[in-house]
Order: sequence, then C-alpha cells, then structure tokens
Amino acid sequence: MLKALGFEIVERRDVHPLIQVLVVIVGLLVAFAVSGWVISLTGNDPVESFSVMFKGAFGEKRKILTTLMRSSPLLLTALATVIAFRAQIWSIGQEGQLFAGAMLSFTLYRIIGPDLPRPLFITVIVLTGFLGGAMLGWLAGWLRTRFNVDIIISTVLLNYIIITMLQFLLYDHKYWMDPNGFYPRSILIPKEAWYPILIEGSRLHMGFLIAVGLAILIYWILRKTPYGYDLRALGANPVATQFKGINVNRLILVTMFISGGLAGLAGVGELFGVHHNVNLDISPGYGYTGIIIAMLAELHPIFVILAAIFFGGLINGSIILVTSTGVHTSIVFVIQALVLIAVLVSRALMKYRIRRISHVS
Amino acid sequence: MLADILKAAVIINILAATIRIATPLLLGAMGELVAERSGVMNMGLEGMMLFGVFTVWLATFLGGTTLMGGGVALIVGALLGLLLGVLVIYLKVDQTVSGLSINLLAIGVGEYFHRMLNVQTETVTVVLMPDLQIPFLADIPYLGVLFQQNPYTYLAFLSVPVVAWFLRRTKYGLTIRSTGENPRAVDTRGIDVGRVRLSATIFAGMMACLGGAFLMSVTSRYLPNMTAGRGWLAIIVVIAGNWKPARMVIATLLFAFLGALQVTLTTFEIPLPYELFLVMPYVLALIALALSRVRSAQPAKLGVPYSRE
Repeated sequence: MLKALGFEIVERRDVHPLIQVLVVIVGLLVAFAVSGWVISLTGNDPVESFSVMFKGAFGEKRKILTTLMRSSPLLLTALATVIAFRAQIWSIGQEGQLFAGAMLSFTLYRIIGPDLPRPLFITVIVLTGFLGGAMLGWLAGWLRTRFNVDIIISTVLLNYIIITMLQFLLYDHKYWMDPNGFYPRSILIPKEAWYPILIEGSRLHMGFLIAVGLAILIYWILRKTPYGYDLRALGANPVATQFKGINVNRLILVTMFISGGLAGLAGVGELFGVHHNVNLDISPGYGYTGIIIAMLAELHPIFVILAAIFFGGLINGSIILVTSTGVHTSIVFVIQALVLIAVLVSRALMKYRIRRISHVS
Repeated sequence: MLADILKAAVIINILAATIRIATPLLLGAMGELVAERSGVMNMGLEGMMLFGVFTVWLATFLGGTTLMGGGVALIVGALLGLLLGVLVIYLKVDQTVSGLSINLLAIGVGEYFHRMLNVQTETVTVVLMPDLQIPFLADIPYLGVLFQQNPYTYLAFLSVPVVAWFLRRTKYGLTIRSTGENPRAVDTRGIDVGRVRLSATIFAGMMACLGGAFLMSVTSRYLPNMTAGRGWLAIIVVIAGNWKPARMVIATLLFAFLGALQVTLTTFEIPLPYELFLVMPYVLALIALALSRVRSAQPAKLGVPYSRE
C-alpha cells in the first residue's frame, strides 16, 4: 500500500536517546488516553479519576512514602524479569515465585517462631524467602535443561500449581487458616517479627532498601562480572555462547535461581512488611506488573527503579479511587496492559522510518 | 464406593463431561495449530479465550442473545488476532511479551467491566445455549450422550478433520506449512509471508474466542478469569500432540478426562482434597511436556520473525 504511494519502510540505524525517551512518553500518553476512554465508557470522568489517582499517589509526603512501599515488590519482580529477559529466558513465573517465597518463609516462621534475636530472625526469614522463590525458578530451569520444557509454559503452570497449593493450605483449619477466622487467611504475625519500618509514622519498610540495593547490585553484576557478561552474551547470541565454551545449561539454572529468588523476596516483603498474614491477596498480580515495568525500563536495572515507583504510584493512587469517584481499582490492570502494548508498539516503530523510494540501485 | 463409581450412569456422566471440557481446549488448540504451523506462536491464547467469555457476557448485558454473543466473539477474536499479528509479524515484537500483553489486557478489561457493570444492578445471567440433539444417534443407549451436545462441541470436533484436511490437502494449507518451515522459499515464490502468517493468526484468535464463548454459553454466571488456564492447556495440547491433529485430540481428551473425573468425583465423599483435583491437569501437563520429547513436527521457524535481508 505504501509502495504504491512511493514510500518504503526501512530500518533506522541509531536513535538519539532523547528521542527514545520522548517516544516512550508519547506511548504512555496514548495508553492513558485509551484508559481514559475506557473510564468514560462506564460513565465516569477520566480527568477527575486521573487527578485523584495522582494526588493519592504523590499528593503529600505520607502518600509518597506509601507509594514507595507499594513499589518495593514491583521493583523486585521487575529485577527478576530483567535478569531473566536479558538472557532471553522468557520466564513469566514471577507471580508464583513471589508466593513461593512468602510460603517458605511463613513455613520457617511457624517452625522457629518470632523469638530469635531480631536481626538474626529477619536475616533468616529474608534468606528463606529468597530460597523459596529461587527453588521454584530453578525447577523451571531444570525442566528446561533436563527435559526441554519451554520456560514460558512451565512457569505459567507452576504459577497455577503454587497458587492452588496456597488455596489448599488457606481453606483448611487443619493447616494455615486462622482457627478463629472465616476467611482464607492465616493468623497475624506478631509485631516483633515484622520488617523494621524505615521512617517513623509511615508504612515504608526495610524491603524498599533491599530492593533498591539489589537494583544497584544487579546493575553492577550485569556490567562488571563474568557472569553478567555470559548472561548478556546468551541473550545476544545463544549459539555463539555455546561455541565459546560457556555451559549454557548451568547459566540457565543459575539465572532462573536468582530470578526466582528476587521474586521470592517480594513475597517475604509483602508478608512481613505489609500484610503480616498469609492470604491470597499478597500479590494482586505484582509478578506480571514487574514484567511490564521491566519492559518499560528496557531491561535496565536502574531505570527499573523509576518505572517501579511510577507503577507503585499507580497502584497506590487507585486505592482511594473507588470511594471518591466510583471507578473500581481494577482500572489499574487495564492501564498496565495498555501501557505495555503502547510501549511495545512505540519501541518497535522507533526502529523503523518511512522514506521515499529512491530509484537508484 | 468403587462399585458406585463404576456404575453405568456415572461412567456416562464422565464421558459427557469429558466431551464438554474438551470443547474449549480443542477449539483453542486447533487455532493455535494453524498459527504455529505458519510460524507464529500465539501466547495470548489464554487472554483471547477470556475475551471470548467477556464478549458473550457483555452481549447479554447489552440485551443480546447468547448466539449473538458468539458471533461478536468471532469478530473480537479476529481483531485480537490482528493485533497480535501486527505486533509479532510486522513490528517483530517478541512473541512471549506480545502474548502476555493480550493476556493482561483481557484480565484488566474483564475485571474492570465486571466490577463496574455487574454490581450496580442485579447480576446478569447469560441464557444457556440449548444442547443440540442429533436425530437417531442421540437415541443410542449409553453412547447417545455423545450426540446430545452443545453446538460448539460439534464445531470443535468437526474442526479437527477440517483443519487437518486444510493443512494437508489444500494449496493454502501447504503455503501456511511452508511459511513455518521455510519462509524465504515462500517469499521467493512471490507469496507475501506476512499476509499468510497474519491470516493464520487471525484464525487462531477467532478459534480461541469461540472457545471462550462456549465457556460462557454453558456457565450462565460470569466470573473474571473464568478460563483458569484452559488457554495455556490448549497451547500445551499442540506441543504434546507434536503438531499433529490426531495426536492433539488424544492429548485433549486426556486432559478433559482428568477434568471430568474432578467434576464427577467431587459429588462423591472421597477423602482427597478438592484442590488436588484442581491442580492435577497442570501437573499432568508438566509431566506430559517433560515426557513428550518428540518435537519432530515442530515448525522450523516457529517464533522467528521473517525479514527480507
């Protein structure tokens, strides 16, 4: 069709970083415009909704701190995505690994109780949570290296399996369900076992520091260590990596272990820092939001921090939305998905440009 | 108790449930097969199925009939297939992430409109689609239950030989298969690779949405995330069936039988947790994937975007 008009599409060689940022911003605006249209479809005012959301997320100091709290699990699941996707390992198991982390640390808590000295207790809990997610990630990696099962599919199945397992534990008084409760949730964890609060009077807990620290650590690992080099090599050219004598199978196992562990940390943080009991709402899809964030930040560990705070604000701002405007919180899921599509499209379009066909060969 | 389960009536129940549960899996898997044969992996199958569910519900909400909803679902499916196709084929976005974006959009849209529209007034109930009795065959003792099924079910089982014949025996079917194996050769013949793949992806979207439409047409109550992984199972059916329609039917029936056992056995007093049955198809799917090492018929260029160099 374009050809008839005398135009053709060619690949662009290099794009100025400023244009890259601009294109992503245009993509975001389009996503919000379409979300606004969805809001108006159900008879609500999109402009009012967005301004309520923004004020709810960044309007005052306490709200900003809560936004940061909401962004910590997102940052961790996004980092889990970064490390896997950089190696072209398409894991979408962050959601399940998050739950696995929370579940294993809760299991340990039930065994050792909250009586250990606090620094030791917190360390042990965090490590166990990492291990919980890491084992699930490793399992998917093992199925890939041993049995050639696609990581995408195995991680999705493991998500379903682990969440069903949690349902099983939470719907039975014999297991984790609060013996005096009617809802599928466990007993409350006593206050002395909670994550330490960073700023008095807010809900911002230690998990945020862990997440930001890990983002910097991963930035360093990817750039400066042999492992990071191998990882990026695997992502760039898997065949060449194999010929170079790098053990690809081991690399996949290690990467899935770390990626799962990062997602597991998000689960511990939500359990011991925010919810203080195990329930099915520990993650309203944080695993998937993490993937969107990682894509938005172009798999860069430092930009991921900014993107995670943006999405944390989105989630935090949506909470008051339903009471003040009547727009249900789930609009966030619509916005998130549209942001992902818009970013994918704008990134892809950026790689090409339209030019007049020149008849010189 | 075993004697109870082995009663003829119960066995017929399980048989009927197997056929019913197989319907959306088969519809989705047949669409996926065509797309994958052309070289496009439709990872948004789960989301497309969810959109099918949602469309039928929305059609009912807006005053339409269930059948009309099914018709609209076809259009929605085609549009979703088009979206995925443009992302994957022309913009060369990674297939996993494009699929994921459709899945997430489906979850978001389904949940949002459910909360906004359903709660205010009374809950909307979708009118069930009546079963279609095939004359004479439906009267066969015991096996007659196979011929008293939903129209969608006939469509699903009919689609297997049709798709198999189409891919094997027609010229366009051959083109689709070649596009998955060697797109360059197809391009050399002067056939537009992108257009072939796009048509296959649109077909996959329509079939996936039909699968979802079926679910809503037999359930009456809408719930977000009603598909509960059926789309993923359909993708697994294609892999476990080694991209061959006949084997895919066997794989589908196996999954469906397990689901049917769950539905039927929960009516008995069995000292096993309900969640065990719930989780069984997923575990079985993992085992099936691990054991089905034969990938002989996997299209060579599956998931690889084509560009003229």
